Amino acid sequence: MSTLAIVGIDVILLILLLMLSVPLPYCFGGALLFISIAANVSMKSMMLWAYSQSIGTVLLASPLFILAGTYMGGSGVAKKLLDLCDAFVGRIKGGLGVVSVITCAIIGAISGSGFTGVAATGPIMIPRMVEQGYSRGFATALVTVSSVLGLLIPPSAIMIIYGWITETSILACFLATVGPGILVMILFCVINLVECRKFDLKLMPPMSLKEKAEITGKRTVSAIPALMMPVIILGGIYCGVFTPTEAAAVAAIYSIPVGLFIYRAMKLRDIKQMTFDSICSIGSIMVMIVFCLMLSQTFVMLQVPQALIQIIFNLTTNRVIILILMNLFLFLVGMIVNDSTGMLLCAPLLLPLVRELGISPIHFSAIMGVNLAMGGVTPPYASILYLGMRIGKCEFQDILKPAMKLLIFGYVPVVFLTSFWPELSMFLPKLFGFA
Amino acid sequence: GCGSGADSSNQAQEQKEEQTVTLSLAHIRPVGSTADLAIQAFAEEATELSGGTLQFEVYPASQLGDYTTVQERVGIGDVDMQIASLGSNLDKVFAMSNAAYLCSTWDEAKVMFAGNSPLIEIYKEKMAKYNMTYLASYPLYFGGIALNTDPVDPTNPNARSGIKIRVPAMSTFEKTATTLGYLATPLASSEMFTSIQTGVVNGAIGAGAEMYYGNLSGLVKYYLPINDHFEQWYMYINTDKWNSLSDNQRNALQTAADNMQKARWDVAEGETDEYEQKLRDSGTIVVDYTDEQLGEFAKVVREAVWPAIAEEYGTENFEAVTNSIK
Amino acid sequence: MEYYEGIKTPALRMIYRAIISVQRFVCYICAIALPLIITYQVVLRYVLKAPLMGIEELLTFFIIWLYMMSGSVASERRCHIECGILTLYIKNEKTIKIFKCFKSIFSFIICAWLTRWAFWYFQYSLGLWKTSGILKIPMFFGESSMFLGLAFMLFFAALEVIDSIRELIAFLKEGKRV
Ligand code: NA
Ligand code: NA
Repeated sequence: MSTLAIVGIDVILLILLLMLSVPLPYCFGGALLFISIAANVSMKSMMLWAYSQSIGTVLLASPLFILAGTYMGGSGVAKKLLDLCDAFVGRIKGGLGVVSVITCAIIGAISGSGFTGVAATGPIMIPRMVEQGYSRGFATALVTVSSVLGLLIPPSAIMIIYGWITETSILACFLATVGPGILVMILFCVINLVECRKFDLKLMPPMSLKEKAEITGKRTVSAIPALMMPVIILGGIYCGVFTPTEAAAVAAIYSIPVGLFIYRAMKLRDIKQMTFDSICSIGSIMVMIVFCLMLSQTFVMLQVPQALIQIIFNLTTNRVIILILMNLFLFLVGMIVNDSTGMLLCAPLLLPLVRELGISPIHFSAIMGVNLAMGGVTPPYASILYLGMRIGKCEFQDILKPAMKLLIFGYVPVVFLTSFWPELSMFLPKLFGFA
Repeated sequence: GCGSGADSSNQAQEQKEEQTVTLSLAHIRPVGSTADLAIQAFAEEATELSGGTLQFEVYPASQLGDYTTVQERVGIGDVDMQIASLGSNLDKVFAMSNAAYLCSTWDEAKVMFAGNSPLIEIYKEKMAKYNMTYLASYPLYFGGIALNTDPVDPTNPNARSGIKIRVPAMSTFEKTATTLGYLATPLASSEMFTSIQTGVVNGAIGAGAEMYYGNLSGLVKYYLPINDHFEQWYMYINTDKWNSLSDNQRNALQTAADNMQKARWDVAEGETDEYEQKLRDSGTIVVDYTDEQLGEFAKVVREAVWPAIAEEYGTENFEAVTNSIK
Repeated sequence: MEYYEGIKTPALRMIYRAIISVQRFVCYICAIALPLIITYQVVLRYVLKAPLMGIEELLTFFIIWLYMMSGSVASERRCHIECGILTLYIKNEKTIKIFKCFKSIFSFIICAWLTRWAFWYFQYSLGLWKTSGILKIPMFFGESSMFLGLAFMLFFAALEVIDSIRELIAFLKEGKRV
């Protein structure tokens, strides 16, 4: 049997296991077992490989943000921030959803990975949205899918890889995904505003301007210690005090004294319980990611993407069809490997072809960026989606439909626009003199 | 009886020689890079010399893990070959290749890394201990310091700028940076770009013009080519795999490897100039050093750093190696 | 209520309690140490202008132990993520029970297979006794976490198999009586 056929069967097996509600680590483990036997992939050094992949500090940002998020929730920091938010958008139907999307974009903007947004904002935003009347599935889907904005709004790990591989200016690549990123953000906000008409949302009662000013002022004052949190995180990262991972650690440490002594929302023994809750989330996510990484390593060892690309590009020479096929191909790659692996594998493979078609490497960075970023939320390899489910305490069947709706109406159009309307991604790089 | 027995063993011998072997070969640079093309050429030559019985699956861009991990995978036998720097995870002596000012000019480098130099002999022996067989080496470049801020008296090795620079997690780089008056800041290489962009650090040591040009494009304001270390890659193969090859295949592999090494020495120095020019073209100021200034840097760093790091590699080894260019 | 309170066999209960003490202790230590060490490094870098070499390296040990041990905590609490769609359509209680049995047995087999390879790695690491670059900490102290984490996960996977079979048998017996 050809390698590609084995991989095909393996992916089907994986999807089947997922649908049969086998715990995720064992779904990936099962697919790994099958492929290691069927395609004769040695498992000897796989644990060694997984170990070396797991201990990176970039990956550490998500467990630390889970921890920080839980502490923020318990310490009253999150509540004070959201109360203040409410003072501004509490009267607007769907306002909270818009806040979620934008916060995700901002937090994502400071980190280079797709995990950070949901890890950092999910524990705070999702319960609040549910409380206001959003369905848990939609609230979780919105925050989770918005989390991929972290890969579109600079800095972004995959763009650094792309720039390095293709010898394109990394700054130009960063700028190229900003346009599509903002468009995705706007579309998500619009979908949220449309969708939330279905929910019976509890909005703040109408009030006079004076009342409003009063309440806003009061909440601002009491939110000052909490407001220091985003100031520390964002300011710290943008002013070069620390990296995103370090920001997560500092945020976790900061929220403890604030919760204990300023808001007095928690006691010392609450911290133990909160830590334990985070540990459960961290465990279910990280072990899943470790096994998932091993599975995608077997695909790399079998040189699957290279084989796929040959098949697709033997089919046609038509520019438009090739662009569509390329998007499809990247979508498929995103289904089976993580974003940075996908970038490492595909950028050098596709680039010569892209040059031949007359597409600029900067424009192509945006095409790859939007496609691979989406990979994190498209099953079966959907680590960001799974993280979102854990954080939002949401079942797969509940998140799937709203997530797909957001992707189909909010994301896929942008994927195509990015491919066929170069100005969307090229405007900013041109403005800064890169093209 | 007897005759047929001998016959069949002869046949087995022949079959072994005719067996086609596919070798997985990992390296750390992207497809299409200079190194990748050289490695592809090596693979083609080895295939040709072996009469097609050696085939290669090349895995570029650290697809099988970072070089230290792949090094272990080669020892285990899951990956057949790698060409990359040696990681010190298995043995601290493997880090010696990166030691500060082990050599300071291209002429010295050619002596230091010649096929039977003390350094290579030590490496051959150590690799054998970890089930790896040395094939060839591949010279990359001399390293320097990249800054995205103005340097302070860059031609004076005793200047004290206090600029924060990212150092790889190896004591030789930390001590070199400190000796030259920088504030050594350990950070993962994956965080190098963003940390320089945001200003967590204002520069880096541990790579050369090529890497800075590729990895930090647009962020390097100054490049100080002080030749602080020499980047050398090594090509090695899993020993069991090596032993399983026929003589013909081994000869083919060794010849192709030697040719690759030789071809690389011919172009390496010129390539360094080329990347320094590329840096200049992209707006970086590349500081010019005279031979005397470089000699002064080497002297200052060797005096301060060598005594502190020799023990790490085994003092005897280190002295044997450093004496080889005197 | 803790799960072990329902365990009848004293020896098993003791093993269970020992395992959860170890895993939780390790997790708490790592979850507290990681943010503290990282924050400390930030302070050293900015306030005292003297970052420590080797902290990154030290972190890796805490990171891997946190991941693997919290993974085993997730096994113990049975809170690994699942995303079943097909299972929603199973309405018959007997089918659900049988299905659960198969699922837990399948998970157990996969976990056993992974544990076997983690054990290979454990032995490999013990034999080589590598040390880390700067602090010279034996890598075994980090690498052994893969095996121990998976071994603990296997233990809890086995208990889940036993529970699901018991439940099925109890259900079948009850069905006969009625
Ligand atoms: Na980002
Ligand atoms: Na995916």
